[in-house]
Order: sequence, then C-alpha cells, then structure tokens
Amino acid sequence: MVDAYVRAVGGLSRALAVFATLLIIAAMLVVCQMILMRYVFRMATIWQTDFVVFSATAAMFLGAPYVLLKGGHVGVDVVEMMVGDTTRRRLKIAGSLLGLVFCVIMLIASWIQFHDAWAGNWKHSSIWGPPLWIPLLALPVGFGVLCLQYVAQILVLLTKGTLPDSHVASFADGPAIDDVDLPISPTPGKERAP
Amino acid sequence: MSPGLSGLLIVGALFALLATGMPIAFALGLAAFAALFLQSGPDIFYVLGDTMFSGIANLAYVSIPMFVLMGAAVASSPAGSDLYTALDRWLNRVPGGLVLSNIGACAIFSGMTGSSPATVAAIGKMGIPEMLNRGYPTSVATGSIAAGGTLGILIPPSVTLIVYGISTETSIGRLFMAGILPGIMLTAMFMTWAIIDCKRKGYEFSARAMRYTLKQKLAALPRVLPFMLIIAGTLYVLYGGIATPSEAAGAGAFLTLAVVIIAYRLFRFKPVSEIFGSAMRESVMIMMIMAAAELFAFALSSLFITQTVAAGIAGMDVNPWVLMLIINIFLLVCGMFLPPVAVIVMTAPMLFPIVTQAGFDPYWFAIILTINMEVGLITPPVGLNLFVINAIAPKIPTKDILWGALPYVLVMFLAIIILSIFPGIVTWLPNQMLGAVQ
Repeated sequence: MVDAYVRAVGGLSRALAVFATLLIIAAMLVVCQMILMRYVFRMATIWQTDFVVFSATAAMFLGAPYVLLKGGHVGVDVVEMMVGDTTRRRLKIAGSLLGLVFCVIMLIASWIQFHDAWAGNWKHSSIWGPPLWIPLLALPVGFGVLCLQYVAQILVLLTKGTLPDSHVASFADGPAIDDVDLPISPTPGKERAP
Repeated sequence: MSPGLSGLLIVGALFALLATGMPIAFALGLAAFAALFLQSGPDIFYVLGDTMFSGIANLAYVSIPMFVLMGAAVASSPAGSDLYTALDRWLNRVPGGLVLSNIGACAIFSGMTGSSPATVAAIGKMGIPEMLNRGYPTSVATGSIAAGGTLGILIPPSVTLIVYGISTETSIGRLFMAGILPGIMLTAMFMTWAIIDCKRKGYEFSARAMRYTLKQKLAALPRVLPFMLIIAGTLYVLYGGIATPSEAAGAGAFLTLAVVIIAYRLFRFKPVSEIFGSAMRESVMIMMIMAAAELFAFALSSLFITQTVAAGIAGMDVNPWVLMLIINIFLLVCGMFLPPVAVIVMTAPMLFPIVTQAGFDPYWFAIILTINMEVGLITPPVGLNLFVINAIAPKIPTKDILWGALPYVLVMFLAIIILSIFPGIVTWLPNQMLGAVQ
C-alpha cells in the first residue's frame, strides 16, 4: 500500500517535471524566435516576453516536487552529521514534517491567489494581456504535489528508516568514484553514444 | 516588539529550522511565514503566493535556467571531458600541470554556466580521479577543484551577478564585464598557489613524463572550439548591447544544446533527458531559494528589521574602509550559512544604499560581495562545492577536502585586499567599453 502510494506520487512528480521541461524548452525557443523577430526582421514582439517569463516561472514551481523526490533541494546537514542514527532519523522526519507544513501553507495561499485571479478574470498588464490564472495555477499544483511528495517521503522514513537520495546527489549523477586507490583511468569519450 | 528583538527571533527561528536539515528554501519560507503571521494574522495568506511568484517572474531571471541549461549541456555530455582532455594536453608540462589544467578547465567552464556546483561536478568528475591516478594527494586534488569551481559565480555569466543586478537595479551586462578581469586575476592567483604548493612539497609526478605531440595537442582543439565560440558569441552580444541577458542566455543555451546533440550524436532519449533532468534540478533549487528568500526579505522589511539594521550600520559613522570591513565580515558569516543567491536577495537591497553613500562603486562592491560568497561555497557548514565533491568522491574524507580548500580561502581574502587597493581592476574594463557610470 505504502509502496504503491510512493510509486504513484513519484510518477506524478516525474510527469510534472517532464511538463516543466517542455515549458523551459518552449521558453528557450521563443527567446530565439524573439531575437530573430527583433534583430533580424526588425519587427515588434507582442506576446513573447510574457510567454517566456510565465512559462519559465511556472516551470520552476512545477519542477519542485521532482527536485524534492531527487533530494535536490539543498539543506544544511551539519547537525545531521554530528548525531547518531536514531536522532538523525528523527531529525529527518521533523524536517520533512516542517517542510510539509510550509507546503500546506503555500498550497492554501496560492490557491486563494489562483481562485481570485480566475474568478476576477485578472489580466496581466501588458499589450498581450494574458489571463493571469494560467501561470498562477502552477503554484497550487506545484505545492499540492510537493505536499503529496512530502507525505511519501515521511512514509518512507517511517517504514524504511532512510531515504535513497542525499541532497547533493543531483549534482553528481553517474557513478561516484568508488575506490580512490584503484588505478581507474577515466577514458574520455567512453560514454559517447555509438 | 522592537525590530531588533523580532530580528533576533526570526533569525533564531531560521537557524532552528535549518538545523533539521530541511531544504533551505522551505526553512526561509516557513520562518518568514511565522513572523508575518504573528504580525498581520491570517490576512498574510493573501500576499504569500504573490510575493513568491512575482519574486521570480522577471525577464532577467529567465536567464538563470537558460545559463544553467547551457552548462548542463556541456557537463552532462562528453563535451566536458573533451574540454578537460584538451587543457590537460596543453598544460601538462608545467609543474603541478594537472592541477593547473583543472583550475583552467573550471575557469573556462565557468564561462559557460553561471553556477559553481555545476562547474565542480563537471570538472571534478574527470579531474579528481585523474589527479589521484597521477599521484597527487587527495587534499590537493579536491581542494583545487572546490576552489576552481567557485569561479563559476565570478566569471560571467554568473547567477549571483544577475541576482545582484536585479536586486539593486544595476546593469547586468556591466556587472558581467566587471567580473572578467577579477575572474582572470583570481584564476591566476589560484594557479600560482597551486604551483607554489606543488613545488614546496616537492611533488614530481608521473604526469610530466607523459608527453603529447603538437599533433595530439592540435587534435584536441576542434572539439573545444565550438564551445569557446559560443561563449565568445554570447558575451559579445551581451556586451555589445545587442541583446539582453535572457536573450543571450536563451540563444546560448539553444546553440550549445544543438552543438552537443549534433557533435556527439545524442539522438536517443536517455542522454538528452539527463541533460534536461540535471538542468531542471539545479535551476529549480536556485529559483525556489530565491522565491523563498524574497518572502524572507519581505518579512524582514515588513517588521522594519532591514531598515533598523541599515540605519544602525549607516549611523555608525566610521571610516568607509572600516565600514567595508564590517560589511565583509557580515557577508562572510551569511555566506557560510546560506547559498549566494539567498544572501544577495536578502542583503543587497539593504547594503546597496549604504555602500554607495559611503562612496564605493556599486560594480566594485558586486565583485567584492561575489568573492565573499565564493568563500562561503568552500567553507563549512554550507559549502555547496564541498558537498558536491563529497558526492562525486565519497571515499575521500571531508577533512582532506577542507584542508585542501583552506589555502584557497586565504587566496580569496588576498584577492579582496588587492581589489580594495586597486579598484581599477574591476572598473577599468567596463569604463573602457561602456563609458564611466553617470
């Protein structure tokens, strides 16, 4: 049951991350299109700036649950390193609960904001004037899934005791240097695709 | 409650939250929420979302995920190791040559990404095992990479300078230009220390026995040149005033991705998804901290803490250089506990008027602030670069990494002193290219 929940929430976080990545790619391409319009064709740009800002910002909130899943939100682990295993586990649970509290608060706050924008039909003050509820929706969705992800993390901590990822694992993808004494010679290009 | 007391309480609460090891972003947000809730009650729910959203919904901030993506395209593909190989072939005859090529690789890589951890991860993954293989002690191998990685936020493009530019309404292009000469100077100082250290300890390594022919050296270049051209192109359009930072970053990311995907034939899903995955993780981590730091800064200023501290510093009526020393110590302490972007979002708006009123150049101060933040990256307890090295080489004791990095901290202090005596190193290039600040 717990496993199924953890897997389902992990899948949801990943799916949001894929969508966030697509938003980033879209923002990147629109930036390039904007440059062409402005500097090559000397034409005015209307919707591009708003689109780029809103999709990049939305992507950051939508990607947040995935980053939590991957242990990528940096924390301070000095205390963790000083204490024993049991205390460390309790600290981790306490930290996760506090993180959950913040995400619940933000879920409520950002839902209020989204609802006002939607009900009041707020428009961004620019020539294009896109409805604001669309980018603002990213906050309640991101924080909502962050809550689910935190619950999953707490469940894993309670049942298994440890989390698979450390908070810096995200920077060091790929195999770690396992044994520094071995004469391992990194051969550049060995990972090259055929 | 007096602003002083509430300031102590909010900072105390932040420290207590950070001690649990929870994400820095959420700890900042929760401490800010608690303070604001106690002051204004439930009404505060109406401003939280908007403060976080508009804190990062800014065209100039779009350049951060773009520059991170540009760096990830090189770091998470074979391009990083090619860059590394090329430098090694050119520099291996110098004493401690491999250490130098590592620092040099970090400096060049910094020109492609605005981020320090990305630089450490990219160069460290190849550089550390290679240095250990060739007989360098663990402290030399890890210390040089940790320090070299800090160049990531000084040499343009730089995430911290973008954040500084937005927080203080200074020109990002000019800030980038101000970072070039100090970046080169610091790189040279790091290299000088590496040579002295290797000579002093009498290391004569097998590295120098390996000779590369000119042909081998030249053969390494074609794979590096496209990236150098992209860096040069990005910086050119930025400094020529042709494009804004986010336009330069977006185009740079697009070109780098295109070159990496085509040159290394990454036409399958997995390698490309790795690039985007690591870019997503790093930019979200940075931007969440910034959004939450915005909330924290909002709480500090609603409770009049920012204003009280600023008035307190301004009212000290001391010699400007004593003031600068106090500010430096303050920044160093902040930098030891919080990531650079959080420190800048929270302190720059407060320090900026004080510093400019005392007659310091805002662009010079940006560089001094950045070097202070670099120190924080390689000193405990929140030395991000140290964590990254720990993750890529878990078998190396943290103590060795710390001792290896410590001399470089002293080198950075020396750099701050040199830049204080010769501020022209910062201001000369932007003044030449863009004219003096009005």
